[in-house]
Amino acid sequence: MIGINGLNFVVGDFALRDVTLHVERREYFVLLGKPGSGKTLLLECLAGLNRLSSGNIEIDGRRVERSEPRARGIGYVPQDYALFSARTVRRNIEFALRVQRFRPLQRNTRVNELADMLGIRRLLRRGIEGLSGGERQRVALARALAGRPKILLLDEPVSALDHETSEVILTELRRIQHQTETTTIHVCHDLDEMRAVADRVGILREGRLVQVGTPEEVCQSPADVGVARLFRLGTILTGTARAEGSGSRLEFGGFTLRASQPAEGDVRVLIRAAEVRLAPPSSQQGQVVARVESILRRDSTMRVDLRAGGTLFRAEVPRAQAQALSLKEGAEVAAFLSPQAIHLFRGTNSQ
Amino acid sequence: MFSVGVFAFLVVFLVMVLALVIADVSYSNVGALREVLRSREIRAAVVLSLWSSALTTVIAIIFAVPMGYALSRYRFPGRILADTIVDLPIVFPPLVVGLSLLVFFRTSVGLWLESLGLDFVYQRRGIVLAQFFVSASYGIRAVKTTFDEVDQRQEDVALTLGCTRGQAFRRVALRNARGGVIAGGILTWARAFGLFGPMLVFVGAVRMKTEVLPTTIYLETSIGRIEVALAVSLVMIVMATIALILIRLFGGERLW
Repeated sequence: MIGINGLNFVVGDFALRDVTLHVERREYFVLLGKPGSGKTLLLECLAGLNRLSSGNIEIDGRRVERSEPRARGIGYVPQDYALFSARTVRRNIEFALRVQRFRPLQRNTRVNELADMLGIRRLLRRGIEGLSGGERQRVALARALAGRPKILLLDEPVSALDHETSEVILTELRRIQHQTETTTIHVCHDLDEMRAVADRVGILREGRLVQVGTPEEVCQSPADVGVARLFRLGTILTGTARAEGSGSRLEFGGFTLRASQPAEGDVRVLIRAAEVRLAPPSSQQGQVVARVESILRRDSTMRVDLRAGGTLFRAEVPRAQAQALSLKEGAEVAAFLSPQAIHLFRGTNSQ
Repeated sequence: MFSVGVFAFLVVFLVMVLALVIADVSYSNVGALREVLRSREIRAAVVLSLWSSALTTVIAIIFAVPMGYALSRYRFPGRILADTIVDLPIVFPPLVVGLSLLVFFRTSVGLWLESLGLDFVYQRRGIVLAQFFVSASYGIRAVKTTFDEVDQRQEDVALTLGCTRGQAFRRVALRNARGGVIAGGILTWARAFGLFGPMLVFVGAVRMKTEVLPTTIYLETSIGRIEVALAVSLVMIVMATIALILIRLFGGERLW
């Protein structure tokens, strides 16, 4: 459906470098990255608003990198929505239909259909000023969908909305994508937002696409330390590895662990917070006896920062388990790190 | 308290302007005003002032819209210099523009233009040329400033919604900049309507031919008919007030 091959784009002292990406038809793809990583620039390249320095873009097998934005079959919702402030909500939504000289009856039918789908029928006669953030987002979405685009490009669609409205909009985005079967590329920097909607995710860092996969795949095998940090998978430790049998023994400042992957020399290790099991200090199960440094209560879990010797690492445990253990700051606890809890980074991947 | 303070400045300024008008009215008399309205020469000057300043405004806006857009949206070598040159006529004494035009039409290029029938010196069309050179900068500056404030992202979205660059400009940028274009038109017209210095130098003060209202005031004053000159001024004030209100109403502003 969408093929980006070796895309390079330079603006000032920033560049998108050698971006190659394929997005399938009807897929909901999320481009995730920190602010300034080049997500919006990449979206603008797809929309035809930036001329590529090199590389090509294919949509449905047709090269479009030199095509005008209007010839690409895309709907674009920028971060600030960019609604036409001098027009009413209805005029905003039917803009594409007027440009394409649809008849008034066809325009009305389409506008009403979209307004019903997005629940903004009552707003049609209103001006843009005075609309809430959520209402603006819906109007921008309806405007982008009016011309029945094959591809929908969403730039940080909920970043300006409160948590509750964000959840509603994200649910609607998935529903609309399913209903209209529009291939969607959604740019965001928020992990929860990505998890809420993505079929697949691409991680962009400093203008480079560093990993592409389903959210589960990326969690399972983060390409490098940066991805593991972005996905908040746990603690990154630096240690020394010695080969032992089919796996390796890892030594940190204060404790030792066994990993199922073979390794030798200096390594960087991800300790997956969600895979760390805690038990009373007297338990024989524990590999490491650690002291609780701090506890942060979250919705269904507790984030527990632990210190073993001179090393700090994190565990994410269910609230019920934490309560059963009577966890509190300063207390000792036994931590059990299964082989699944440990992910080794090697070579250049361990940047 | 804040509102009172703000309105105090407005009232003080309005009182100052109105005081001048009232002084004019008190010095002039009904007889002088009647003479002005009956005079064939002055009526011709009224008509010439109106159409020349209106035509100048139209031409200036035709230049100001693309120029303002280019200066606002595009980055090109020499942009700052171009932007500065646009402002030069605002800084120049208007008389200098008249002298420069006169000198230009005595150069080989100017004489060649004249040989093609494009003669402006001491001609009616010269009035529009002089008004354009002095007043267009106000329009260009106003339009450029408005384009600076118009969100370019809206044009980007319009491009993805099926517009060509031209359509995006017309349907979005120009529509959003309408207020600035009207403001530019008002400034240009007002400057052109009251222009005097370059007229005297470039097109002269020939009655029934190149005489505009500011020239009339000068001519009447020079022969000591102050009350007639003031009566012409009052006519100008009334015309300008009506014209400026009409332009604002045309631009979508309300009466209150």
